[in-house]
Amino acid sequence: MINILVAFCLVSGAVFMLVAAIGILKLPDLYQRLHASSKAATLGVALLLLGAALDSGDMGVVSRCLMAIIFFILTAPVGAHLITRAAYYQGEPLAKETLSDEWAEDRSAREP
Amino acid sequence: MNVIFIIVEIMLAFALALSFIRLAKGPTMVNRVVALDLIAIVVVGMMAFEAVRSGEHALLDVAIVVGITAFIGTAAFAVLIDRDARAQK
Repeated sequence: MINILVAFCLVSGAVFMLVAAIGILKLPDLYQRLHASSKAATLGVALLLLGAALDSGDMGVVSRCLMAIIFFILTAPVGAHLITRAAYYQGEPLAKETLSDEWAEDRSAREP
Repeated sequence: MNVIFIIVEIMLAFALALSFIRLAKGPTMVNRVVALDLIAIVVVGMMAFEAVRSGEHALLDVAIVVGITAFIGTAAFAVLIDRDARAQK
């Protein structure tokens, strides 16, 4: 029974990792690439670590895995936000399908 | 269980290869930083998988350290790029 759970966690985690990697290769824009990598990869690594925690059955290993999962869930948005802000300030181009850039509109409305 | 291990290993290897392609292609430096971040996360996932496959649970400690190092690296790159962009204005 626990083997089935571990196998499910491992396979779905690896699928999410693969989705994140395909997204980072195929999406047209830095911001969309970061969207793929920060969400899908975080969920993938959390599922893989959950699989490791379920497989061991040892309290020390489970607590280490939970700590790593909480760490990744806390730091992935922070890192994505930092790198996106730096890229926007640097003038990283938006994809040509982009419909609106509200930050630029706000700034141009404030300082004409 | 062996078939599942092989499938997971192949999928993680493909993920690593695709993010290396983005690391080589990436038009700007920010793209490369994003690719490096994803590479580090995939490596952490591979370590968790290897801990299950071999039963060597000490690998999880290494995975935590790699994760912390990757976050610090991303934050440092972001601060550097930010400072660069502000200095040019």
